[in-house]
Amino acid sequence: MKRKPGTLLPLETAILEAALDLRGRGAEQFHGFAIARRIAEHTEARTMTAHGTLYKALGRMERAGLLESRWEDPQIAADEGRPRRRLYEVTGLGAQALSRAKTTHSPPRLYDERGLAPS
Amino acid sequence: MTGLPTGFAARLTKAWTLLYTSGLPADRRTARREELDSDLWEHETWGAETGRRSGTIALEILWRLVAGILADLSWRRLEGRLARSHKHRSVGGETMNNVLNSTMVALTGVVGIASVALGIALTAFGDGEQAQGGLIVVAGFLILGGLVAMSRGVRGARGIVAVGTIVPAAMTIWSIVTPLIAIAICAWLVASARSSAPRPVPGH
Repeated sequence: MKRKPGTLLPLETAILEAALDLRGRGAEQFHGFAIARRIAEHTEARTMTAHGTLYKALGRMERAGLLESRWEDPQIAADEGRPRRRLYEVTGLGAQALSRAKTTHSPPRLYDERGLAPS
Repeated sequence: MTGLPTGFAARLTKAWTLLYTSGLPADRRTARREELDSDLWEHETWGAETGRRSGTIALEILWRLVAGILADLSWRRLEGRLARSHKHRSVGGETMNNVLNSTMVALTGVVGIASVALGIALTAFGDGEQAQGGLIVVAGFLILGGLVAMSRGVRGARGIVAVGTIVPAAMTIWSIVTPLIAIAICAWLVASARSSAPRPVPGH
């Protein structure tokens, strides 16, 4: 999807909002499923974000510097008997981008009152 | 913890991930597969902890798989492009072959998943079409299993994919589209078998 530089796609906004919400609840880092679940709860959606859509977005956001990720210690995962998690964290840039999107970016208007697309 | 439907949905998702990540650099391939393994485990565990039925969790996982296929393919295309640019070998015919190969692997994978889904739907909801549905499910698994075997260089894997492709096409020959897709896949399988066959050494 094409977009203006510095703007966030709706899913990216949802990921950042959910991640900061989790941070507010004490979870500094999150893994993919946790964020998919939080977004679904937050938006009251009946389905969770698709695997492909979610992980593609997380990768894109990491490349853009909005998120950082690291793999957890394999020993922790082994002790808990589960696959190891890739843990993401919102960067300062990510928090700024969300804040800017919330304060300066009104919802996009696809058409004006006359039904014309904005130039 | 894992019920039969959930286990099936998770295995199908893993097979699809194995397929669309095949041929990528090892670090990218492994990272994606491990991330999906973790997601599926967390989903199943959360579902069990919240008392959800295995069938419900399976449907959620299948939905997340199917709804993300286009994004998976787009991600795969981007990763493939990045890998090629890193290797500085994106020239002429080789790039064309890589693009064609990736496209055909993706198309065949989609046909496999669609066959499994269609077969299950026919088995569950079809009016007297349970036998057909079962056959189509088997064909879908042959396609997906054959593709995974191909990515591992197993001999005879192309034949398995071809059989899996021809069966649903023969059953829906009236649709014209499915037989055409089957012909395209079989032509690609033959061409890829020829290109990967050992070439005679000149002078021997």
